Amino acid sequence: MDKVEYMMKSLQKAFYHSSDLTVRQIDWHEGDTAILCFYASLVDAKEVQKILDTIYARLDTEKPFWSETLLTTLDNFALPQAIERVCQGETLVILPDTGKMLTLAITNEVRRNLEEPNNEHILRGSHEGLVERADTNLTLIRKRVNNPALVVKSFTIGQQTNTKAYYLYMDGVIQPETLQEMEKRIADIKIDYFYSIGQLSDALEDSVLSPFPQLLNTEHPDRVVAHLVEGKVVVMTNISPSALIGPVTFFSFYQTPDDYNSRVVVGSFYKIVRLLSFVTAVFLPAFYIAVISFHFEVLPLELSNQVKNDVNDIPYRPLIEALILEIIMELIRESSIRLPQSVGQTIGIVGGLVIGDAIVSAGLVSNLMVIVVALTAISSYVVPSVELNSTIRMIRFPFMLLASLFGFLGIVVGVVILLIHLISLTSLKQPYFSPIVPFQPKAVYKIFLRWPFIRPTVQVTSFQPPKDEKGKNEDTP
Amino acid sequence: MNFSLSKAQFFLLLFIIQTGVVYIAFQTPLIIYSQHSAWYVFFLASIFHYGLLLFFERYYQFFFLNGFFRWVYLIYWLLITAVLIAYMGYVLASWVLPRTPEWIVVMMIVGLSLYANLVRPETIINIGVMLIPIIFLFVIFLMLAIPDLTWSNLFPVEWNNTRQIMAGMIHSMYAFFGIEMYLLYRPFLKQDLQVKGKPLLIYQLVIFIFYFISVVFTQMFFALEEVQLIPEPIMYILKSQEVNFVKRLDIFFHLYLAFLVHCYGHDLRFVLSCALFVKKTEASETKYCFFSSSLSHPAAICHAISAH
Repeated sequence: MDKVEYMMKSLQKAFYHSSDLTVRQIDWHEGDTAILCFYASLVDAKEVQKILDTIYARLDTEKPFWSETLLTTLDNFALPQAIERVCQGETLVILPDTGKMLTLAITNEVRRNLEEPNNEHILRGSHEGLVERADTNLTLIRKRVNNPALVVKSFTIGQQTNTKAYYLYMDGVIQPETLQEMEKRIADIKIDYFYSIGQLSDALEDSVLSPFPQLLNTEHPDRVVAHLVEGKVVVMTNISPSALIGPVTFFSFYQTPDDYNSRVVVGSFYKIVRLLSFVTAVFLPAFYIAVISFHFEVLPLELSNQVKNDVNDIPYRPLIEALILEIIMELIRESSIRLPQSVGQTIGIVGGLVIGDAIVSAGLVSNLMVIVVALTAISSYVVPSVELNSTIRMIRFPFMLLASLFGFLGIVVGVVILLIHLISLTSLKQPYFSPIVPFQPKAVYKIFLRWPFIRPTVQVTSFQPPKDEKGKNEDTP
Repeated sequence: MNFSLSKAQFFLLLFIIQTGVVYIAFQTPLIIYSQHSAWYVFFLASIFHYGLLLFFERYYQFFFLNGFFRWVYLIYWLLITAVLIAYMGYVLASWVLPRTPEWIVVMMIVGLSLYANLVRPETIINIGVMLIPIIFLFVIFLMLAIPDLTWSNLFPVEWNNTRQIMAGMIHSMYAFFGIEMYLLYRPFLKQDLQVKGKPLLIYQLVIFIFYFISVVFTQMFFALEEVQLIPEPIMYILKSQEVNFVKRLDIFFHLYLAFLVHCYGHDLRFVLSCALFVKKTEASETKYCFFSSSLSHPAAICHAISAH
């Protein structure tokens, strides 16, 4: 068996005789033989042929730097590197006589068009969305930040999958300790097979068991940029359109690009409405249960008569009534997500109107409870973040239980536990409930209001109010 | 324990310590003893309180607790906490949850305090911030009583009755108990921060106005004979107010108080941290948290039973 044949067999064996692997003997310059090796599923063969033609032409004219192009490199052959490169979609031309290998970085790019993210609709502003390719995403971000201070660092996740990922930050804006913390966490990632952004999120978050997300998940490049210039780190992978942003606060999840693209007063108004929706989304059913079960006397007489008439015929406790409706709502939501869009809408209408009306007519649930649950559902969907939205829908259940056991006191106990948890929570070691806790009186209004961008401002970092009082525009969509 | 306080955190901690269930109860004995003079006696007590704050600010660095007095403090605070929790349990049982066994309410309060004490120190330092909006809301609710106030109840003022004034002074000082915590917290304030002068005056004004409103409103809302029959006058004032959407505003204030007592229990950790375990380990603090909770619970229940 000659050397070429032996190398070809070794390559086949190294790639477990995979069907989509091409290992082929080709003629090289001046009667030499070379081995062409690539995954047919990852390589654009036509482009490879073009580059090879260029290389042949260069060899014929005996140019000294025949192998140097933007897409090719010439190195010494080593099997581990060869395997790594082929797995990344590159094409190898191995020259057994010289012990060299020529790498052609031409991959068959599978990418979808830039579309607006389905889960983050906005009214005004850019409608571009990130895609499942890091280089495209980096292009979208670099297009918005023409500044060398935007640093992109790459790393791989998954010891077996070797997935490419990147973290980005603005040098000079980011706090060094935030960057160090992120780098430490990235270095500590121990995952064999990486296939989901959730795995990365779990590895990077401060408290995985908390129901509250500690990294902001977005598919909007303008949102990514807004956070970058505020001094945050962004992590992106080659397999998901989601970018993870940290450190963030609880209130970051309530901001959307629309707040900043609309009028100052309008943006502020909707910010406040959105924040108030948290209260109704979490506490409204619990409040209703507490009033009906324990504290009927808080209602004015006229209203209490109406409520009494409404709930008198319901055969079970308000908690059960609320649970029935809430679970129906969750089922409708879940089914409308899983089904095709057109059918999903139908399910929403059938579930919302038909079942809602029928269940009241059957005397299983009171009219008031339908109103309460509907208001709660609408309030929870106001949150611009899908993660926080799910969290809010989940945490209302313990509040309902506490309210049915202890009335208003139960709600207060729940609120204290919730607050202790939120205050204790950190995002990349930065306080999650900032600027309420730690209390920064001068920054609190920014939670509720969107300040106009009219002054010459100094961009500030997250979490620490600037010493320069001019820097007021640290709000970020 | 390694922590430092900002000015806002320092004054909030003090505010939580100095307000609490005493806010709903101290007006009755004060007015009973000082009669029409209650409001100006309270004013005098506030001046005394401000003087104490200035005194503490000037000499706090010389304050030192030896081993014996550390234990005295520890026992004092344990008892205070037990009494307050018991009183809160009693108030909640009377006004909000008449059918719930008191020991369950006490257990909830103690359990929550324990949970809070076992999390990060920053949490307990900062949780008082959440009370700020509730305080504003409470004052607004109280203002609804203005049309029912009779200002002539404040007069005549007796300047010569020394006994009345002294008795009133003692009962006024209940409003400010917990001031000794100033000496314990003050060393933990960030080095470069100054509190003497304007910040201290603002704090004094805030706490004075907060309490003074309650004294003056009680005096103006009830006749002297009525006050003797009412143990928690502020609650009665709130209960008598009706707005379009809610009939019993007092319930919401009870919840504020329950929240406050939770926070109060949380501050226990700082007492022990400052007074006892500054140089000791986190583990000894944790042990103490369990120890104090397991003691304060039966103590609070015993107190609640004896109160009945």
